[in-house]
Amino acid sequence: MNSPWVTASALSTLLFSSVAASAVLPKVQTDNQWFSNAQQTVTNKTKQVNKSKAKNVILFVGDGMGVSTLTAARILDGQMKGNSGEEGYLSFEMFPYSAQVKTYNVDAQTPDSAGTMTAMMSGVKTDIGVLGVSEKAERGNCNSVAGNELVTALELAEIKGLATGVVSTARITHATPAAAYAKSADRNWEDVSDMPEEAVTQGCEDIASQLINFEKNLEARFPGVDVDGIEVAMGGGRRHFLPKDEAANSADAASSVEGDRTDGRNLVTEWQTQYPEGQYVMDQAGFDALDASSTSKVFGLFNESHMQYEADRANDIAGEPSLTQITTKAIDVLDNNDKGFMLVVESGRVDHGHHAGSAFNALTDTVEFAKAIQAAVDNTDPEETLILVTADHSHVFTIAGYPKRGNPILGKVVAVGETEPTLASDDMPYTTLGYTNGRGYRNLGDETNADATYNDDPVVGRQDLSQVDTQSSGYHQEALIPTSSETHAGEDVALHASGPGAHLSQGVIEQSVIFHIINKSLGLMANN
Amino acid sequence: MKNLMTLAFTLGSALLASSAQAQSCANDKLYLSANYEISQRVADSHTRHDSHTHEHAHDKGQSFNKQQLVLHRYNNQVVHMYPDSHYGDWWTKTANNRLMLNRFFPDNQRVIEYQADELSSKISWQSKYQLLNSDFINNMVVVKETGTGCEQSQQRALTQGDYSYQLTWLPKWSLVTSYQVFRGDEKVAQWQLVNYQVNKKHIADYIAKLSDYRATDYADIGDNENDPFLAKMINQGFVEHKATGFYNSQGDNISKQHSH
Ligand SMILES: [Zn+2]
Repeated sequence: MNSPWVTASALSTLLFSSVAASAVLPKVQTDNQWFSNAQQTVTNKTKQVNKSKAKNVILFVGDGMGVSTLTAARILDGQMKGNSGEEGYLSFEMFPYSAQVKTYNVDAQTPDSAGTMTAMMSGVKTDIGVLGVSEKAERGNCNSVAGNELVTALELAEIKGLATGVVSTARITHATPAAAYAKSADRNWEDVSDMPEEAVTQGCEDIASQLINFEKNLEARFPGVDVDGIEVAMGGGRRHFLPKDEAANSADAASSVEGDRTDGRNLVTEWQTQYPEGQYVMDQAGFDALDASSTSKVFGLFNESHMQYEADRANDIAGEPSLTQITTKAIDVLDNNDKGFMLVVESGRVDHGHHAGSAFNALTDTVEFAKAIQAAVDNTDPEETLILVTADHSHVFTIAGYPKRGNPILGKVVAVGETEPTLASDDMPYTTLGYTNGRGYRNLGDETNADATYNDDPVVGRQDLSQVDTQSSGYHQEALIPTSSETHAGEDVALHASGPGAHLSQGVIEQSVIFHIINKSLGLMANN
Repeated sequence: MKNLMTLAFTLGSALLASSAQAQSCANDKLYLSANYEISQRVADSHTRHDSHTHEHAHDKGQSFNKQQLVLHRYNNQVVHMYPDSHYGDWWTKTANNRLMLNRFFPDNQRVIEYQADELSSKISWQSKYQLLNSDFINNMVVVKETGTGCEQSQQRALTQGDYSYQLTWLPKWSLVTSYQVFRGDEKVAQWQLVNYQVNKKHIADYIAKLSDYRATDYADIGDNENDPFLAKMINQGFVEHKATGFYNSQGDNISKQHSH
């Protein structure tokens, strides 16, 4: 459907009713800012022109970034800018189209990243815990992979001659980014030492190795096809690429022996041999020194494990770029290809902030994610770049009570017209934000790393918060059910879209539809 | 106090023997293994999940938890192994002077890793390396000093409020030989060095073995709820408030901890 979705006749009906309304509605209504702003929104909608063919696609995935996370992050973002917060929008919330996405895995009501990202990248929903393979494969069983491998949008883009990129603040071998390029019976097979010996013997390849061998493996699966490999791969997870040998340590190694690989391979040097023109970077300085216009391939591993939470980034040993910087650089490199590009960007640690029960870290990473998306908008042509922003799944994170407008989102509930916190039936104040389960309450002061919560036993149930600063970075919200870690949730997530093909993001859809939106817009398969 | 002095004397002799090469303690202390016996009065021990592993000795009607602590040092790494609790903490001081922790479970050959930045920056390396913060030790008054060089041994004492502390230690080895905590006249906790040895190769092999255990980053626990080991181990309670250390995150004495 190439034509605008509002027909001329519908438009005139709308205009007519608008004129009619202004005649009957009182001035108090029509002069109201809410009224006129909303009217303008609809008028803008009527002027939308939809294009179908995209040159570039950027898929942004906020890991664990459910709808309540979007709302709370939007409010926090506004409040950090001195506003009430509720009226604002995260950058991508200004996009013209959105859909509601069902996230369940084939075998799980509440999903994980492996199954959900596989659905987005391949168009096939699959089981929890497996990557790039259909539900016919059995988790943890190497032999069950053969014949059940799925082809991803990234691979199709590569075959079509587009430049390709995968970046994340998690380990680049972590489930979400890995679903773009790897096939694995288990998301945890990040390097050879993580695999059961049986799986290695049976010939399964670890995820890090699959990233390095992406070009070779793709060409082997499609005889006659000649591809040039992933142009940009940046994130954390250095340990999975280096041999277990102190001599291979990076300058900012935290562990005594940084690498985990027990097969003696150094995948960083393998990559450098394979792509002598490529640039390997491992810290902020190396990243800053990259000249995007002259660089054809970039491999960046900025941390042994996951990269830092945005709020904690300053504490990194050698310095790490922000997701905004990474996204901008990735686009700068990828757009050197005249045929276009496909880029996958994951904000990997929103999920970890929530797992740790820290709204602060989850939300500040979401705000940074929104900045990265704005950077993508600013650095691409809206006429030719489809930008999709979604999440793989949600978390048991709620915005509750009856706080007044502008009440600090990380604060205690203060009711409309009040200045003191509302007391619950137990005579204690409570926060707007909370978790159904997890490790629960913490008061870690100015700590900026949510994972510090694992230091202590779960503390669930009600706490007396009257003397506690719940807006501090180290505060962790109360939880009801004690679990080793806060869990994912099963409700739908949002998909926001802008650019050619964005109008295909409508209604309530299965996660596998996202692949087809990308495919349709980029024309990845010849008969589309 | 008599016991303590006997011990100090014994240690002093051992020290003489092992460090005939006079100044070697400066280097030897980097590669040292030491066995401690820890006893804490039950009411002060804060043990929760692993109390069944402890002997309950009765002393004047009071119950003490007793357990072993094996300390290993290897350059910028320190291991605290608690054989009775079937786990150990393996600390690494990173290039930017923060601490990284791997908690290991020998029975399962598994490790859970804390990245350096995930730990409170207030946890001090000294509290792992020599069991007590230097600031705390320096605050104590020297009561008695014997020997010189590698054989130097000090008795130190401090009273703060209701609590008093008695320490015997070997400054040149940064090694506690005995440490006792009293509330009024009651002894509430004691750390007693049983023996120690210097064996670089042995410790290197031990750490190499630990590094072969299957490791999981703490941050990944949430995505691995289906792993029975992780689901169980993460609920043990972690790092800073175990009964087996006599410091808390500030390196303060155990008697001040657990304000929450
Ligand atoms: Zn998760």
